[in-house]
Amino acid sequence: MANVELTNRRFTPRFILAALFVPLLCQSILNAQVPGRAELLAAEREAKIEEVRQPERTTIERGMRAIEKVASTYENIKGRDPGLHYTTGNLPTGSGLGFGLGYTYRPMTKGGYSDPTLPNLFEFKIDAAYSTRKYYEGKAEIRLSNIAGSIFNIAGLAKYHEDPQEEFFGVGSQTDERDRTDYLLRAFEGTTEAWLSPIKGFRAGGGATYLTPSVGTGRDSRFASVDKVFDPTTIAGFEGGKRNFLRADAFIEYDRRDNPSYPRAGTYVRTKFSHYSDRDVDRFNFRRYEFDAQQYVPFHDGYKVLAIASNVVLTDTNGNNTVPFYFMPDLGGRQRLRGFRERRFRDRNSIVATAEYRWEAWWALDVALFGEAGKVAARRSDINLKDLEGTYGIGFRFHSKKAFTFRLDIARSREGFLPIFSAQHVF
Amino acid sequence: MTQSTSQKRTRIVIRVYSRILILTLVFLGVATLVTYAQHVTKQPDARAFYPDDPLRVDRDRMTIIKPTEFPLYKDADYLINSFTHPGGDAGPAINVNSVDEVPDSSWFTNRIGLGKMTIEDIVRGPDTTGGPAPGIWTVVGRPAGGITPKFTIRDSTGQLYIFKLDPIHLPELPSSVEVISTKIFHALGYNVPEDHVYYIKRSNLVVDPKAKWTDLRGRKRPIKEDDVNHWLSKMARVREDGTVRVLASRYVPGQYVGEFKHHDTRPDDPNDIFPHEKRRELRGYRVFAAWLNHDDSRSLNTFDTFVDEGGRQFIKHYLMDFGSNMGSGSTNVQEPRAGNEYYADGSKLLEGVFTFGFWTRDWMHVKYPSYPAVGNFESDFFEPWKWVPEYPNPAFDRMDEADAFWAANLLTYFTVDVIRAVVATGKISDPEAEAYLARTLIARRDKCIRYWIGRTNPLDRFEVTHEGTEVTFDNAALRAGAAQGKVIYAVQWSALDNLKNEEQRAGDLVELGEPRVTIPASAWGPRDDANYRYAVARIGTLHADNPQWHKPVILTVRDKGGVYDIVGIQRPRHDAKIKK
Repeated sequence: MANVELTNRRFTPRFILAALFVPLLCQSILNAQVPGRAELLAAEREAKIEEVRQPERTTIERGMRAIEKVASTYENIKGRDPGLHYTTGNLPTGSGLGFGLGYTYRPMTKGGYSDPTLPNLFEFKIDAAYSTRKYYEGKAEIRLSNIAGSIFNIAGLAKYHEDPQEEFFGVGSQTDERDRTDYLLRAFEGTTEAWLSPIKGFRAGGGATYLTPSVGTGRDSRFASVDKVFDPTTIAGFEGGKRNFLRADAFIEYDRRDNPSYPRAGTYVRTKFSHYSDRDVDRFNFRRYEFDAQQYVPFHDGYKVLAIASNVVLTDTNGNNTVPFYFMPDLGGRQRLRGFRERRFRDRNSIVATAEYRWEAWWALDVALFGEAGKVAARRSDINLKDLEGTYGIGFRFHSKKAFTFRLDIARSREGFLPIFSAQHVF
Repeated sequence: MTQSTSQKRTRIVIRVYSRILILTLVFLGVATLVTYAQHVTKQPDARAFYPDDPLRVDRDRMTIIKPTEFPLYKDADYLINSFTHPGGDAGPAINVNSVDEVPDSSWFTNRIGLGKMTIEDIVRGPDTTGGPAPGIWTVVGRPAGGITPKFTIRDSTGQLYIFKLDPIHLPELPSSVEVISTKIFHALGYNVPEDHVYYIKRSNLVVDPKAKWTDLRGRKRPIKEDDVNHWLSKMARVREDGTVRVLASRYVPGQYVGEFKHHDTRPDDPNDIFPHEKRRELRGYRVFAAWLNHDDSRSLNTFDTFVDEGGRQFIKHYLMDFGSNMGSGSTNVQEPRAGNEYYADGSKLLEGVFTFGFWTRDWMHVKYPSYPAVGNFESDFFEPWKWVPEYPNPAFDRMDEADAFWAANLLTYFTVDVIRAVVATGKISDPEAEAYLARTLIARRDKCIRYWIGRTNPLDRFEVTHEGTEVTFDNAALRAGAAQGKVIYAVQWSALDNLKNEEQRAGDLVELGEPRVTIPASAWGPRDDANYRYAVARIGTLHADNPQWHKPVILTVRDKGGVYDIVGIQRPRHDAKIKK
């Protein structure tokens, strides 16, 4: 009994105390649980753990990656220069897209680095290319610069090429666009050349070339061959098969352009004299004089450029000699008189002048308004400013910060509009 | 008797156990209640403020599993940002605390804005060493990427540094702007690498036989002594004493895991919960980038590194590569276009094409000084609001007035003395060039402050004084000299019920000539569950030249049982215009 009472007495006060304590405990716990912003952020982060996933590439990223892979593959296929590499060759304009293989041997000097100021810089190049219009060439070139640390340089070149779809509209300035024909030209060329560079931008030198041109039936299925439209006997050099020429050259060049690959300022002047000696029949001996001048006048803080270029080619002969049609200067095409087709005019002499007003439309795009005038003539005395053919147009020149990339020119002449896409700068 | 005793004992046992059962049930009930309360309190509710507001530290350093490396693609980054306008809406910055400040985090650490940095602190910047330790340095590699010639060395203590070479025709330009920029961005609060202008001798360098690089022909091959000879003699200018000036950039600790985008979050980083375009420090970065002409302020020049700090493993976010800053374009002087026009701006392109050159960009005619150590950097033509990076930055595009105020306010801490001291760290040998650079930075800073600090009501530096009866503040635009003239402050108080986030207007609008306002007793709202009470003041500023200041700053004062503080600052803003 006493035990029970003791039990009761002991239990009742504890229960009462506990009953009082519990609500107080609850209140204090609840007060301590007033929410905090840090806690919410932590909860949000904890929740994200459940949703963690690898970052995914966007469509653009995947696309660019694919392009990079293609570019990388191309780079691997393209190879290295120096070394074995892909090349588009040095095929004539209008030959279509060229592709081929080249190999350059350029021994690195002084720790494996090229330095244009070092003596005895040696380079050997060999390449072969074929184009979508069935042009092809094989070429080997050797060059030795800064011989023994001097200003003298020498080079040698051997080249064989076949150009099966060369345009021909007749000789003279009065030819008809509808008389478009084509012919095949193949030749071997062996050249040796020497020059000196006494001061920056100046070069003078000369060389000798052995050439073996031969002409044949054109292979452009769209047009007739020359001999089907014109009387071959009236075209100097068309008949007679392979010919042998020896050519002697001399040139002087002054180049003070700020960036030869995409000039915006400076001057370029070049004059070249060539003497062609017919080694077969003594009928096609002639001399050729070429004058080339370019001037770039930047204005408006250099964001606009007035570019002027002129080119004059004169030939002369002795006695009954004449100039083979394939050695005549020509106008028309991507570089000169752009409103006319490639090699639209040809004769013994030519003159062309071009003026371009270029402005920077965007950091990677210059736009140009251009106008050209020129003509060909049989006689040197007809090389004047009368009866000039004119073209004009607009050009879009894309470039990187340092170099020209490609251009799209739209040119108009009396024969209509011609769009021109080219990776070669006009001048 | 026996039965009676037995029955009694049984009854007693039943009573005892039944009470124990009741007590147990009560405790279980309490436990359930507590658990529920804990659950409930983790959910956002209507309350305006939490007891731990304002957060000074965002604890985004939770240990995470190491993410995989996820490098950005350069060209894709350009295309995405130029043509797709990534990121979400243009709402306000959401990583700010309740007083509109950026808490410390793995992205940002408040430094100069705390007002406690000395000039020595600022000049020291992120540096923990004096640069590579003296002795022989071993060339261990040559990093790919970037356009600056560089190679990696290991010093005698095993620390790795990248030696970046100045271009031979600009022997001080990129290195000086990079060092100056790291000091500035560090003081602002960003994580940046430790950079030093250093003068090295070829004789101090040896090549590790295992060191490799990808040469100019694209071949991976061992680095030879001749390679180092070439780099130092042909790609950098050798000084008269035979030394070559380099930028010694210490390797950032941790493991590289990619770069951070200026939009969205990283899905494999649980700490990364705020979309980057809504991070105040990335939006305000635009102001600093404009100041410094940091046109290369893009994601590719950021660095995410997985670090172990204080026993936690998390991603830390760095800004780096400041070589294209101020008048430097890294390998050349800065292009005049830089900072003035995006790489791709369709309308400008069309205007450029079809106006035949008669219309020209005004930046094309800016004249720059002829200091090779400064490059193309000037302050007369510069207009902060016109400035743009190389291509659109989603965070920059979303910067609003409140973000701009925060950034411009930080700029006010860069006094003339601070700027001169920081410029001196660039070790520019031409005193005139150094003075010009300092003058230009000061002038550009002034323009940035003048333009951006006053885009919104610039009230600042609020303090509760006189035992919770008064609030003082200042006008940051007036303080910074960005505005002059008389101002009147229009104050409307209201009492805030924090739990309901409801306000009751208290008293009438009062106009004051001084930045000092009394808190009326009626402005205090009811106490919340933390036993705190709140008073709200809407303070508009009347100033003749700045009608936009009329929109009030919403200020919240808190009473924590006799301890008073500022718990809320909400600055008026407009949604930034996002190009679509």
